[in-house]
Amino acid sequence: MNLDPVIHAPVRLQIMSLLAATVEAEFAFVRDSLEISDSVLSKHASALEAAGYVEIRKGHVGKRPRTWLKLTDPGRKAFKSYVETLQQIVRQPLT
Amino acid sequence: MTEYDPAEALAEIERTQQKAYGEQYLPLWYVPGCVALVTFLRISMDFENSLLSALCALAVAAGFGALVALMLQRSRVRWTLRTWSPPALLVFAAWALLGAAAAYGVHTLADGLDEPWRKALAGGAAMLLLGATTRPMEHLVLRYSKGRLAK
Repeated sequence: MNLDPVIHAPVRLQIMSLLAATVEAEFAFVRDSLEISDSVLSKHASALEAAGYVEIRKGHVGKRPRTWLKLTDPGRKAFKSYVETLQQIVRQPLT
Repeated sequence: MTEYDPAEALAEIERTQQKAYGEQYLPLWYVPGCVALVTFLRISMDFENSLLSALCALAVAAGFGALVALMLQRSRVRWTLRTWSPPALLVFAAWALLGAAAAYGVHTLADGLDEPWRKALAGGAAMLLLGATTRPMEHLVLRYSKGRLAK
C-alpha cells in the first residue's frame, strides 16, 4: 500500500494533521502549536499548496496582517485516504 | 527528521491534534456574556410595553452578533465538528445543563423577590458557575476527545 509522499514527510504530516481538525487556522497558531519556525512552516505550507492540498489566505484583522491556512477538498480527501491506509497497514498481521 | 512508520504516524497525528486542541481556549467572557444577554432578554420579555420588549430583543440580537464577531476576530483557529467525540459532546451538554439547573435552582429559592430580581440572580448564578468552570470543562472535553482522529 502506498502512502502519499507529499503528506508522509514529518512536518507536512503535522501540518496536515492539525489542519484536518480545523476549518482554518492562523499561520502563527500552526507555527506555535507545531513548535517550528516561520520559514519551515512557510516552506512546507507552500509545498502543500503546490500539491493542491492547502489553501493559503492572507487577510487583515484590524490593521494587523494575518495569514490563514486551510485544507482544500482534495487535501482533505488525500488526508482521509492517507489515514485509512495507515490504519489498514497497522491492522495487517505480520507475515 | 526521518519518516514515521505507520503506527508512529498515526500516533503523531493524534498527538498533534490533541496538542493543538489544548492550546486554544474559549474566552472566559464568552459564556457569561451569552448568559447575561439571555438573562436580559428574559427580564425584558416581562416589560408591559411591548415596543420596549421588542427593542430589547433587537439589542440582545445585536449583542449576540457582537459577541460572536469578537470571538471569531480573536480566535486563531476554527475547529471542525469532527474534533468532538460523543463523550466530549456529553460533557459539554452536561456542563451547559448544570448552568441551566443552577439558574433554575436560584430562581426557585429566591421566590420572595420580585420577578426581575429573581431572574437577574438566577442569571448571575449561572454566569458565575459557568465562568468559573469553563477551564475544568475544557480539560474534561480534551480528555474525552482522546483516541479520536479528525480525518
